[in-house]
Amino acid sequence: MVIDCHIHLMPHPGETQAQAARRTLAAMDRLGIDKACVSLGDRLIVQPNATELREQNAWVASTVALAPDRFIGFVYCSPNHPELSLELIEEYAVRGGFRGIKLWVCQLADHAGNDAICRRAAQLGLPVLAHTWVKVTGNMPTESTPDHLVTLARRHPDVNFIMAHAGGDWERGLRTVRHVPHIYPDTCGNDPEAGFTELAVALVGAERLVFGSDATGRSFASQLAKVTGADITDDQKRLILGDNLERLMPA
Amino acid sequence: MIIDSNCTLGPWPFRRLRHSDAAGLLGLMDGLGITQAWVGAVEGIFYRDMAAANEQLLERISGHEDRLVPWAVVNPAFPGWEEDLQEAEQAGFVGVRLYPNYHAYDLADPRLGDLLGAVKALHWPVAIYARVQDERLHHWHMLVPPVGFAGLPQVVERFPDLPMVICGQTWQFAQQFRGLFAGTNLYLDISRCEGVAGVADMVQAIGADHVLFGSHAPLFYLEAAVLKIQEAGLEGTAREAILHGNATRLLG
Ligand SMILES: [Zn+2]
Repeated sequence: MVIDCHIHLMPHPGETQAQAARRTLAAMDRLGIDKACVSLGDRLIVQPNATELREQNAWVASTVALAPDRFIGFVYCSPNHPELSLELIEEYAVRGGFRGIKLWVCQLADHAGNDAICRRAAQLGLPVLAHTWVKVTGNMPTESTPDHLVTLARRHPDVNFIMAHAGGDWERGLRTVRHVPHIYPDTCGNDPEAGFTELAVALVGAERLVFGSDATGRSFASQLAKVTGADITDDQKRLILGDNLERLMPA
Repeated sequence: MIIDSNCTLGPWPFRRLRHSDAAGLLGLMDGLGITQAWVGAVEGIFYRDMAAANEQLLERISGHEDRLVPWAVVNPAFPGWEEDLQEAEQAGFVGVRLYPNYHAYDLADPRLGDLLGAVKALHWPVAIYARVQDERLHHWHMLVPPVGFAGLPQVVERFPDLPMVICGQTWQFAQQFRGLFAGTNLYLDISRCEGVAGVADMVQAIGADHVLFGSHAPLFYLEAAVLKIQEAGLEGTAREAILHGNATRLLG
């Protein structure tokens, strides 16, 4: 079972949601990707207000409804709107079958507004997929690095965190979280630089690396190749491509 | 048959690579059914002395010239490039690679025009590298901006028949410059073409006759380019053109 922990369904100009979903599923079929976890909305909003946060989650719900056996929803939460985020978790995870939480770039990961969200994630056993990047060209002021995620994770030892993009600067990101066992780096969202997966397996272990693509902005292929093209065992590839994530998500 | 138009050999200064020598690259190629790779020297990106970089490449591929086809790196903004080009021709190179951002000139630079004129006289192709690595991941004290392509229409207008490959561009770039490709010898490689089935979007914008299989190995996983072709669902003549037909025609 190959599961992608990290996609966003963003249509091309003029394309409907159903068309974008069909195009995405066709690409997944050609590459043998069984399921994909969908988060955010039809476009990227750095600072979503309450209405936009509701709209973006509704977009994911209607995406999942198009192919419920292929798409898994993650609830997009915002530490700027903790009470609304808890409501959205009730609506979409408790009652709607979403199986994870997504934090993006509206505040740094260690923002106090994330604590209520993480406490609820712990109760429900939901993994928290959190954006991280370290850009030598400069992060956005509210864009987390792996260090911010480590701070949040230490406050919530009973939550499993998926560190999106392995920190972007993956050699740094992997080192930063090496000894924080409930942080799971994902594989996605940068070029398929050779050596990534081998280093991740060496530093955090194949049991803690999770396949993700960051489609539809990224190619499924370029990100999948980081795993399938790596010099690791088939058992390790199976863990990374789906088994680890299946273990992290509630049934 | 698959020809990989975008490979380099030599140690990358910022990271240990597993497959940066000829044996390593050939091993990757064998595993993925790649017949031939066009290679250039990593040192050509960083050295001042291009002749030395190109010579190192020839040493590295010695005995494997049937599968590893050498392209010379030339820097038109450095004195003596004419001699580098001449030596490269005599030494068995087949084309020229350019790194305008690492070598600090742009597409409007008259020295580039001079070089392209000389390359045209040799009936050689030229490859322009848009990006070697994502700028966000550069070394702290070696930040190299991407190549600007505002001057591309003028270059294509001046050298309409010159076989020219732009390495490391996107399907969005293909859409932006789609009007430039018809009737020219201009190509894009797929090494940094992203998006869901992004290669199909690139083909839709400029036609399969202008797209080249290129992996950017061993800096990138070679398998990424192979899977991108699969993801795009291309078949028949379009697929064959991208995998080898265009490359064969380009080298004449
Ligand atoms: Zn993402």
